[in-house]
Amino acid sequence: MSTPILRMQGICKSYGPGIIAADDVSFTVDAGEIHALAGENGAGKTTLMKILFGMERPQSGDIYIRDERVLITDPNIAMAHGIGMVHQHFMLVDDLTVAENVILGIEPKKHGLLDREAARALVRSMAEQYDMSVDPDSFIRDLSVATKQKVEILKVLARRADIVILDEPTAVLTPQETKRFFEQLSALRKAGRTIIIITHKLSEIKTICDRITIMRKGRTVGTYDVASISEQEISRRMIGGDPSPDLIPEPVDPGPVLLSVQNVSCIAPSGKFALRDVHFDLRGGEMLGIVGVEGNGQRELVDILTGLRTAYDGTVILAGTTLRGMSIARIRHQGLSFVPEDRMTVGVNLDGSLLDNATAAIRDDRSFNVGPFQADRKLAAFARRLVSRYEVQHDSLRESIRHLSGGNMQKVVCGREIGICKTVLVADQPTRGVDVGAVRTIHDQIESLRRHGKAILLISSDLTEIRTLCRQAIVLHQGEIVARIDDLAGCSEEELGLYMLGLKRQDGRGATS
Amino acid sequence: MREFFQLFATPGFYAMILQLSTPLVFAALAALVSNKAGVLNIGIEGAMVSAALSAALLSTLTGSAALGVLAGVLAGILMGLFFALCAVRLRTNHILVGIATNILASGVAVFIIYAVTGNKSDYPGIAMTPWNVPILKELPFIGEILFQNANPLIYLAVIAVIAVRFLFRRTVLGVRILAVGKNEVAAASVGISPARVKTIALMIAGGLAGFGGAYLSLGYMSGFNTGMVAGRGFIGIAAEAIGAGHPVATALFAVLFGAVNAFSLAAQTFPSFAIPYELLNTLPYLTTTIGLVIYSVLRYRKAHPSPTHKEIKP
Repeated sequence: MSTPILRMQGICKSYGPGIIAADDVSFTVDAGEIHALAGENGAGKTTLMKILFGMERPQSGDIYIRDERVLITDPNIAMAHGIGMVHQHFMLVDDLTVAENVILGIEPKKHGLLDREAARALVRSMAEQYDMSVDPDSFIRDLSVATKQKVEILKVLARRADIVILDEPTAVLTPQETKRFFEQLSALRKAGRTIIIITHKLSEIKTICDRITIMRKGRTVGTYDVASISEQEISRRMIGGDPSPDLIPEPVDPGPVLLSVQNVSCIAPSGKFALRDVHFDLRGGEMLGIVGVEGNGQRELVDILTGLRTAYDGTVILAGTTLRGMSIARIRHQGLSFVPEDRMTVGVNLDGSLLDNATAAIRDDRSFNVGPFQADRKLAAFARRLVSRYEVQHDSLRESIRHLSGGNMQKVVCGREIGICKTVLVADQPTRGVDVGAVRTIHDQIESLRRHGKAILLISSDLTEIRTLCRQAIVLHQGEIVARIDDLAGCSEEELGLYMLGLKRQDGRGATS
Repeated sequence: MREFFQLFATPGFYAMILQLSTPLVFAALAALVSNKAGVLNIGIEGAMVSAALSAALLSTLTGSAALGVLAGVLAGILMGLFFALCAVRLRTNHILVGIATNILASGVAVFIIYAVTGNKSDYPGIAMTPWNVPILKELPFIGEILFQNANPLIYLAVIAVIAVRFLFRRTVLGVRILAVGKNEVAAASVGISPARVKTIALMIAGGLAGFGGAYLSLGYMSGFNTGMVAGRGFIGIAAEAIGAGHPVATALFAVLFGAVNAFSLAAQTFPSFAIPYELLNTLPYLTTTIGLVIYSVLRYRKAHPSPTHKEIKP
C-alpha cells in the first residue's frame, strides 16, 4: 500500500509573466489508493494533472512512475505509461455509440476491419467487472450525465490505465448518483487501480479518499492521511486562513410580480418535451433557484426568457408586458439582464478590451451618448467603477479581456449585467469555474441586487450555491417542475436529489424513471 | 405534350439520366467524405476540373483511356492533398481554400491547354470504350438503359456508393473520420491525430472527385473543355446536404439532379416547346436551389418545432 506509484517533483509552470499556475509543486501517490487533490478553483490542481497527462508542458520538474523517470509530452505517452484521465468536460463523440467511443483509438480488428462484436464484448465484460451497467449500443447523445461519466471511466479502463485521474467527477451528479459512483470507485480500488480525484468537496474527501494533498495558489500545502485531519483543518489549509463568515440572505418584503411564466412548453429536436407546462411567478426581492440535472430544460427556459428561443407555447410576462414577439433588444430594455452559462462565447467578446466588455450593454443608452457619438469619458468612468467595485485584477481598461483569469472575466460579466438590471436577472451558472474570492464577490452583489427589490432567477448545478443564496427553488426533471420548495432550509440534499432524478415528485405521481 | 410521354417511354432518356448522374454521384460522395471529417470542401469543383484535364492529357499522350482515368484520379487526390495542406496543416479558412483551389484549377487548365495546343478552350481526349454486357443487354428496355454502350465508370459510381457506406460502417478509418468530424477534441484526447485523419479523408474525397472529372472528359465527352464541369462539384455538395450524410440518399439526390439535367437537355429538342433553351439550361441549378431551400426549411422545422400548434390567445 505504501509504495509510491507516481512521484512529481519540483514542477513549475507559468503562463507568462506573473501568471504562475504551479510553483515548485511536489506530489506523491501510492499504489492502490484513492488520493484527493484538493484546493480552491485556481489553486493549480487541474494544471498539475494536465502536466501529468501530457496536455501541458512544465517549465521544470520531473515525473517518476514506479521510480522510473519519464518524460510525458503528450497524452499518448501518458496513456502508454498507464495514466488515464476523465476530464471535467466529457471527451465523448455524441453521434457514436458507447462501444465505439470506448474503443476509439484502440479499435479491435478482424481481417483488417473494425470488429464491432469484440468492442461490444469488451464493454460488456468491463461493465460487469466494475459493476457499471451500460448498453454498448446506445448513442452517447441519449445518455444521462452519470452514464456518460461511466463511459468515460470505461474508456480509461479499456486503455488499461492503472492510474486514473478524475477531474471534479461529482460536479454534475446528484447526491444519489454520487453515492453510487463512490461504490464503483471502491470497486476499482479493490481491483488494484490507483485513483486521483481532483475536488474541493470536503465531505467527499472524507467519505472515499485515503490521503489528501492540498494545494493553494500554485503550491502544495501538504499531504495528509484523511483519517487524521478534520474537515475544518482541510478547509483552513485550502483557503489559507479561516473562511469568511457565511452569507446570510436577509428577507425583504416581496414586491410586485416581475416575471410570470405561464404554462410554457417547448419541444426538443428529438420530439420530446424540453419544457412541459412550466409555470411560476417571481416577485421583486425574491430569488428563485432552478435545481436539476443539466439538460432537463434549464437551457430552454433560459433561452425563452432571454429571447433566444421564440418557438414555444404558453406565455411569459416580463414586468407587465408579454414577451412574445419582443426582440432581444426590447427584452433588455424592459430591464432583464442575463449572466450566460458560457462566458467565453456568450458572456464576453474575447477580441474586445476590458472596457468594451464592461460597457457593452450601455452603449446605446442615451446617458452615455452625446448626440450620435459615444461619451468615452462616461463609459470609462462606468468601467472604472465596475472594476473597483468587483475588484477585477487588471492592468489597464484597454487590455484585452482574454488576459483576465476566468474569475475576473466572470466578474466583468456579472458587473455589467447586475449594473444595468432594472427588473429581472437571469443568472445561469454565475460562478462556475471561478475562484473562491470571485464567488464571494459575485454572490454578495447578486444578493444586494435582490435586496434592492429586483427579481432573480438562479440556475446552478451547484446545490450548495442554490442553498446559500435562495430560500425558494423549483426542481426540473425532463422539462417538468417536479417540486416547488418554499423553504430550502427544510429540504435535505438527499430529498432534492430524489426530485432531480425524478424518483420522487410532489404531485404524488411517484417514480417515473 | 405527346413529346413528354414519348420521352419518358424512351430507354435512351434513362440512359442519359445515368450518364449525367454519374459525375454528380462522384462529386456528392466526395462532399460526403469531406463533410464526415468536418470539412466543408467546396474545392470539389476544382478537383474535378484538374482531373478532367489530366485525364484528357494522359489519354492522348499514352493512347490509353484507362491510364487517363488513373491520371484523373491522381490529380483529384493531389488536389485533396493540396486542400488538406492549406486547410488542415496551415489552418486557412476552408471556404477561402476552396475558392482558391477552384480558381487555381480553372486558371491552370486554360494555361496548360494553351501551352499544349495554342487554343484556350478545349483539348481532345481518347474516350473510354463503352461496355456491352452480353445476354443482359438483350433484356427489353432495362437492357438498353443499363447494359448497352454503358461507360464502366457508371458501374463504378454504384460500387463507390457501397464502398463509402462500407467505409463508415465497417472500417477503423471510417469510425475515426466520424469521430474527428463530430468532436475533434475528443478524438485527439484518445491519441488520434485529427490532422492526419482529415488529410486522408480529403484525399479520398479528391480521388472520388477525380473519377467524376475523368468521366466527364473521357466518358461523357471525348475531350476536355474549360466549362465542362459546369458547377457539378457544387451540385454534388447540395445533393450531399439534402441526403443528410447518408451515402445512398446522397446518391439518389445526385441522380435526381442528373434527371433534371437530362430533362433540360431533352426538352430543348421538342419542337412544340416554346421555352428558350437558355432558360431550360438553368433547370438543374434552379432545382438544386429549390431542393436546398426545402431541405433547410424542413431541418429548421425539425429543430424548432412548435409544441401543439394551438392558436395564439390574445
